Amino acid sequence: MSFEQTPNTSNEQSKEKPPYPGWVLKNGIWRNPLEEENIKSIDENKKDSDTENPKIDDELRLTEKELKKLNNKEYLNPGDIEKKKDLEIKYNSLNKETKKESEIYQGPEKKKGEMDPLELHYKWGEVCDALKGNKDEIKVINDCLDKTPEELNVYLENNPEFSDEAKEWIKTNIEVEKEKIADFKKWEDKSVAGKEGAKKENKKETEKEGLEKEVTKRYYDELEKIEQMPDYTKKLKKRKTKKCFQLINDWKDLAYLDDYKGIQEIFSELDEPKPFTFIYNLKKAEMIDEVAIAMALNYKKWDIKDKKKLKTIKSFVNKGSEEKNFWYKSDDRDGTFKDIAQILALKDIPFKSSINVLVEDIKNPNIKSEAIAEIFEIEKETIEEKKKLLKEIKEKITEEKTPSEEETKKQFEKIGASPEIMGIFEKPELLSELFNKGSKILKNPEVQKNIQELQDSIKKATKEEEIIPDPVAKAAEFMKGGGKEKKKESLWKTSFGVMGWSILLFLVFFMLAELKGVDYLSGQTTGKKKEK
Amino acid sequence: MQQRILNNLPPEIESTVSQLHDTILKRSLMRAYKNLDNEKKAMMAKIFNSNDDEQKNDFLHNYLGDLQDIIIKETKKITEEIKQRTH
Repeated sequence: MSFEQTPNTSNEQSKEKPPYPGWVLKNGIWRNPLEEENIKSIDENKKDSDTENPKIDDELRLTEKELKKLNNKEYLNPGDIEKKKDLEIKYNSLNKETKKESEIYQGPEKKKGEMDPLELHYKWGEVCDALKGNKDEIKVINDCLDKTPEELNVYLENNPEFSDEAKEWIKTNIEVEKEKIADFKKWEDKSVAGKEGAKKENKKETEKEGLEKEVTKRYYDELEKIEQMPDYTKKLKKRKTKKCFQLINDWKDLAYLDDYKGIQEIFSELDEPKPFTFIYNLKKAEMIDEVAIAMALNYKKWDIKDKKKLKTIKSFVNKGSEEKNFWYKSDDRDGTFKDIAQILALKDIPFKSSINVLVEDIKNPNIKSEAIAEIFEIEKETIEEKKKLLKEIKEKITEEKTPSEEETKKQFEKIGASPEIMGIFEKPELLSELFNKGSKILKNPEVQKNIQELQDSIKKATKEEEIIPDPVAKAAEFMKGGGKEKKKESLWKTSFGVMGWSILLFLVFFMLAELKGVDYLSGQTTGKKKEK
Repeated sequence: MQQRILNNLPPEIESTVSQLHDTILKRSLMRAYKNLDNEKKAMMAKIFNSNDDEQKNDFLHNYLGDLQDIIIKETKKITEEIKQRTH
């Protein structure tokens, strides 16, 4: 059988404020050191005069001794705690009795208005209250405190209500009391400042929470508006989709506030209009990736249990890959899990039972081993290196944006794209199929002949006519993202990213148009409809 | 995403598109470079020999601001040339 043990805090420094300035905590009880001295002196006087009350005094000493004994214990059991309470009550009551006894002992009857040293001393203790307002009650003391030693002498001489003893006491103790009050004021100011600081902090926190709720509410309002948008024409569908993408993008960094419920609702809303364009599928894949990465980046701000966070991430990413989107297939999902695992490792989230839960879901063994190797490397990095890597990831996310369909079309028009190329946008399924079965299509002798011709033409057209100076070659490398970090994937970084993206897409479409790849898929080249 | 597009292309097309992409970029930069005075050319050499990505970005934006237009023109030029050669 064991007893409940409570750590004994009586000997620790108390965080409570003293009832009066200068009072100290001894054996868990606030005491006025001067009072103690007084009691001691009274005690000594009592011994000399034989007029003491030895019963109360002995009991007080005995109680104090027992209290000390208890306070010296490292741990208190429930019985000790109960006993301590009783002893404290007893001690305080006996202490009061002793004071009364000592006051009685003080002897000669006081004249009206006269203050003896002990009474005056008790009054000093009330100074702190007076400083808060009730000045009339101890006006005398305040008068004494405000004066220079010379002024005090004059003041005391001109006030016959003070006995000589009281005058002497005031003169001796006034400086000490002033110091005590100054210390108390400092302590009080600090305490008030601390409280005000805490109040300000709380206010800030409340304001922040209010703002976050307001922001979340606005996003929900926006979502409601989108849900009500009509989508019965192709143009309206595109408009609605654009709004959805915009809202996802705006909301994703604060979506942890509602556990990503709202943002998942937008994804469901996105499935309704589905404009079936090449850019739509790419953009949606990009959005799944970005929201998943935002979940990882805001992992520590997200205020739910780790298990629930990981479950939400997994379910969101897996759902994204289940849809028939060519640009977000199993390997893309694995890539997202790998990126998330990397971010969480950079944020010092433990691998076991946290990151591991996501890594387990990676199906491609190569991606899985890459992810584990990366995490292993990250664990060896310093805090600064981790911060740097996280910053780079965030930058990469902001850089790599699929431009809107309008932007891409505008660029295509500037390049002088043929109506055939422009039309490819409208056939995303065929394009996806081309990407899916490209190698198979290229085995067709007719397409092989076309590609050979095209490659020859390209070879001739791209033949370098002049020597490229070193700064130009290096600038080209930099724009391709192959500068000091060869690992970077972005083809054209910086703000030329969108331009690079459009050019790349244009070149792909151009090749397809030249190869008649789309015609082949739609059966127009062979005169047959493509078999499903 | 750009890399995802390239990775999903059949290898024959992927290498050809990359080759075209590289040529367009180099030619465009070459044209922009030729428009710079000697002082700026020296500055470009110094900056692109360093490891300061921010300075490189700044240089591209400050002194090769018309690069986007040049890229569009070069793309148009090269694809038309290919078309003529093929047909």
